[in-house]
Amino acid sequence: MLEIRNLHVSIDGRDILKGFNLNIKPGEVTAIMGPNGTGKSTLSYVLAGREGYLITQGDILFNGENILELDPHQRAAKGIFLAFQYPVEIPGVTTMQFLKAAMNAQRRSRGESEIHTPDFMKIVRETAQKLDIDQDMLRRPLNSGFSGGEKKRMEILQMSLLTPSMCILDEMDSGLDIDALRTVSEGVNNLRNNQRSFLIITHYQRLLDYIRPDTVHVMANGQIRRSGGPELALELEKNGYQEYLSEEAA
Amino acid sequence: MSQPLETPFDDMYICGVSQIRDDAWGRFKHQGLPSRKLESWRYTDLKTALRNVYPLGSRVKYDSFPPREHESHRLVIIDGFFHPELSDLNDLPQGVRCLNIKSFLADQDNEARYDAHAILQKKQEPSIDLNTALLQEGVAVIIDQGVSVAKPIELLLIFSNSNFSFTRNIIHLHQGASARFIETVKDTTLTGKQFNHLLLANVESNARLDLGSNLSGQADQTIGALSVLLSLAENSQFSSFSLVGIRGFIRRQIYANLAKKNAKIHLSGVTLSKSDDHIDTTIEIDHLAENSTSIENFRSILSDRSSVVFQGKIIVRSEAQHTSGQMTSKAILLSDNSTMYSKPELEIMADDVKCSHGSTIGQLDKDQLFYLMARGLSLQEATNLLIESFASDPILNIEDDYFKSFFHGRLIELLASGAPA
Repeated sequence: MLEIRNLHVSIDGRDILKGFNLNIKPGEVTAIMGPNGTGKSTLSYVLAGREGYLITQGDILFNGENILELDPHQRAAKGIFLAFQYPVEIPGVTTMQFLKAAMNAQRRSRGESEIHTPDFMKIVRETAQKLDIDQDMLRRPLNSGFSGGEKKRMEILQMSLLTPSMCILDEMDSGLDIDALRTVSEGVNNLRNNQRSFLIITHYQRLLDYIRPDTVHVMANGQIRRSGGPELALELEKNGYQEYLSEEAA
Repeated sequence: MSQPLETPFDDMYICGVSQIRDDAWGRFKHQGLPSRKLESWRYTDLKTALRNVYPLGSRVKYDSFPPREHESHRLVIIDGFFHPELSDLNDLPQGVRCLNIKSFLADQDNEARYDAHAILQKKQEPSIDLNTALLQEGVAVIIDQGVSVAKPIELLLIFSNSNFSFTRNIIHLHQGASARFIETVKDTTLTGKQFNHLLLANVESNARLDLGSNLSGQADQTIGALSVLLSLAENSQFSSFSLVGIRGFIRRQIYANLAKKNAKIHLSGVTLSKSDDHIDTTIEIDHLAENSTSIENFRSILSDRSSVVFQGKIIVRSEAQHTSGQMTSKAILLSDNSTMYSKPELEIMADDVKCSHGSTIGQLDKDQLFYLMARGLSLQEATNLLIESFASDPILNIEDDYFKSFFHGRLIELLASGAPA
């Protein structure tokens, strides 16, 4: 589904990704773990198409198509979804209004007709309920004054409504208490199926107790250093990233 | 502009109007069209812009009614002339009178006329002098003591011919009256117009006036001055919101006297400018008595090579203790070639007051843009949603629900039609 080949990315002349390779199959849940400053968030932004990153080498293929030239909204319409580490506040635009704009924009891009308002209201209400999002929150301006947990639940709500096939979760667990982590993880687990893939970017093994990955990769210094199954995450939890960092120093 | 033109007021020496006009013309001739030399016109050089002066128009007959946008009592002024036959004069509620401005000015028994004159005399300003000197027509709406008008009264100003129009509307709310006015300014064709319009409002004690101004047009050669002169008495309130989506070289100026204690004024608006538009909003609020409040809250969205001016001045006289004055102007530049001039001023002579001003000029937030695009909105859709977000504060603070939903809808329409970008 997603194939990243020898990707080199730099910002302001500084190399961040240095020959990054990754392959994710349909339905696969992949976790990338690594220390701070190793390029994990850069990877998520580059996949979603953020401006300001210079791609000097390599390709990103999504369902066989090179997406490097596509704008973020075109990638979104093709099914790529990035759940932000720090969801952005948009004052003055209600959450409902934003959700409808996003759903319809993607439908238009795919040549589909816009969603009928009653259908929209129904599906939003039902999905929100499952994520413990109350109706009042939907009427408030998007993410404005939301707590960390509320913002993350809102990301999962969007992910549920937009039905992407490739979900990238950037530090989903940051700023969440145990209860919120459980709700958010359940939301993610409910979306798992054999066609939808996940890329979970995290520092800690904790999140992977709730969302069990098929594969785990360790990233350091802009590359994948080691790959394995869920047991690799447990090992990292015990030993830390020190061995990968010292490799870097050497 | 070298000689006074033939005007419909030449027969009015008898009631002093001609003298007032002659005096105004005299002052105007002495000073000339405002240019950069005048501090308050520093960023809006009307003299240079107005090189080709269009002729004054004459009354044209209209058979068709302009389309209705509001459920309102509508008064129609087209190209400088009041059209009673197109206006809703027959169903005006009791206690509301509407007169052609000429009849109003000639009526020596009408107190409102003297009040209007007194307000006018307090502000001698070249653009207003020119309006006085060359005034063609307009309407005066007088609302009697204690009368509360349920339906909005709409002052519809249509500019459709390439003429110079000089119009004036007067609103007078007697004690305890309340009314909502919609001022619709429509530049209806693609050829340039020239106009100089004055709205003079006198709000007596305990009265309340809400004004919503909707300025629209597509003619980038249009040159217009829209002045508002306001006088607020004790415990009176005035609030206005304006959506400026008109094109060309436009000067809007509001001069307000908070003459008596406990008067409140709330001015807000959103301006969208594009191509080579130049849109100036200049406001002067004069707090003359104690315990009065003023709020100014404006947003500007600039694209292409357009320029926008915001000049806000709050004057607090020594008698005006416990004044509260707040001024905010925020602008977003969508293009590197657009220019925002922002000049907030406070002139405070009393010692126990709360006054503040804030002015920001920036660009769209890149994080917000990326977030929206990552959710599937195109650059244009994301930009429009962020403009809506940026403009939302003054719109959400409109007290009147009808105005709030009308202007919100109108802004979205303007954005959808590609107004700013």
